[in-house]
Amino acid sequence: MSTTNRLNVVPTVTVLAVVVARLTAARRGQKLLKRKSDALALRRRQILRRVGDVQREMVAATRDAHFALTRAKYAAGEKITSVILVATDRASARVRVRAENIAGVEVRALDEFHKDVRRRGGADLIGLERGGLELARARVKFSRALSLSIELASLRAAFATIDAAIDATNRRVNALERVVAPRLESTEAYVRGELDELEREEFYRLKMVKAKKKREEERVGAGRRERERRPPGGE
Amino acid sequence: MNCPEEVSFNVKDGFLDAALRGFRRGLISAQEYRNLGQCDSLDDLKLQLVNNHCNTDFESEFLNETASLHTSTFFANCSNKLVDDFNRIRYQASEPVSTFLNFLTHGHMIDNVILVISGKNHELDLKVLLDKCHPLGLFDSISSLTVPSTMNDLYRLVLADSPLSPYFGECTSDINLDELNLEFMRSKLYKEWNQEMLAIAYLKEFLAFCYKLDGGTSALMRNILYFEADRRAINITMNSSGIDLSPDSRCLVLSKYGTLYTRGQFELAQFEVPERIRAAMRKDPTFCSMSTSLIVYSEDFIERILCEQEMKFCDTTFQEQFNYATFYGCLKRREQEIRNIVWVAECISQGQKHKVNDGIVLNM
Repeated sequence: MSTTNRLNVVPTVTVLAVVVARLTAARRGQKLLKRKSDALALRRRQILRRVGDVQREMVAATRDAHFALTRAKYAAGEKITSVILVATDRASARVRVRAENIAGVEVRALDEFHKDVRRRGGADLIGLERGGLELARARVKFSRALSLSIELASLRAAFATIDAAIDATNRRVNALERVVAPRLESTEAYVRGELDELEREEFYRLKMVKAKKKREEERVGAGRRERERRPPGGE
Repeated sequence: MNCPEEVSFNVKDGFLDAALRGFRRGLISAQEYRNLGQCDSLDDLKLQLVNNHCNTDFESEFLNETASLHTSTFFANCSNKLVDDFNRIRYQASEPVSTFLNFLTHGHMIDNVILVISGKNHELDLKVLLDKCHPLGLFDSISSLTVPSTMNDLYRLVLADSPLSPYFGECTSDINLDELNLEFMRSKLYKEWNQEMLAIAYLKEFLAFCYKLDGGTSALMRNILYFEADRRAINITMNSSGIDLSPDSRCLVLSKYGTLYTRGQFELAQFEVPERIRAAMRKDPTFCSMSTSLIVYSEDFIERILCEQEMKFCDTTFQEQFNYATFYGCLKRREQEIRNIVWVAECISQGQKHKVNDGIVLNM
């Protein structure tokens, strides 16, 4: 394993320091990303719960709104819808995109805003003769359904973005944990092993040198003793 | 009563009168509405209409309807049938019935003219607009409505030849047809305004015409048109309560006759609070009973109550012999029947069957 899954480096002390630094960085990064992914997952669960609520609400509101429209049509005549369609030319409700930051992920959210809420223009006077009250009621119901559907759209967009972000983050976490860190670890082990080997070699060499020196010394010392034991001749 | 007219009535208009009474027999009864309300799907409703109501007018229309059903199908079929029947009657009518029948279509014509003009201001396609028009309110020159570019031309070239010219003359006489007013015309407020003014002029002309007819017709029509005017007045007052509309301008869109006008319509124009409306209504015997039922229910029911009252009036036309008001009553009741059927269909398709009875105004 250590031969295949490691970086191709020259085993030196400097390289060891670099590898160790990278390993620590990778571990810290993994921890941080894990935390980010947890935060995102929490947010995703919240959104999911809200989406369910809003969806149910929206279904009910839409049903209400359509029934109110039926009432209005009943009161004001079937043709009233085309009269309204002809009389309106600009949307009174619009949406604005707002960027939101959730744990470092940029999420687009939709904000509803109304232009000229007070002055609703000519649509006000439609149904003056009959059905005006019902029309106004249907209008309120539909704007409620509209804001719910805008909220739903916003939540769904946020959900999609967060989901993608979670995927990416988890991939990164896993890559750091499963690929980068082991590789760096084995590299470190390899470098350390090589260095140890070098050290052992050095040690052995030193030992040999020392032994040789000792032998030399002993030989030199034995000669001297020999000379000292045999006094110089002159009998 | 004027004897000679009654003697000659059947000679001239007996056939049409009989046809109308036949239509009246074909109207769906309360029991039948209850059965219709039991249907679970639109297909059931269609079957009910085709099978069990052999004397209603929808069977032939529904037979060739194979595509998936929608509530608009019911509306389209029923109103096609109504238009057919109406036209058949109209082709056989002689004077003064034909004029009377023409008057009946003028209300739809006014709506159509306004629709086309405002659609033109928004640069919509003429064909689309004509599709949206009510078939009873079409006239020959309606497609040329979009051609003139100024209000003056519009009136001079197109409307002057149309059946509506007297009404336009009435409501344009006090305003100049200059550029300023064209701008006004473009603003939607003025458009609605015009529509109300036209409607008033229309009712007035219609009433004047009815006075010229013989005794029975004019008395009945006077009642009905007075009631119509009062109904408009009450509805406008109710519906405009949330809108900025000064009492003076509201007075303008209220018609200048009707029982409430003589007894206190001006009060009506000033008031917005439902209690005041009720007070104004109490001054009139027709509305007195209604004003008490208004206290029991809420003001939501006012349109419904007015509608029931109208149906009552329409039914009285059948109780009298030898008059033309029957034509009016029959048309109104057929229209109401279509609304009822569409209501039932909507309730069924939207799964709100418990509300079926809220919308049906029966023929009393």
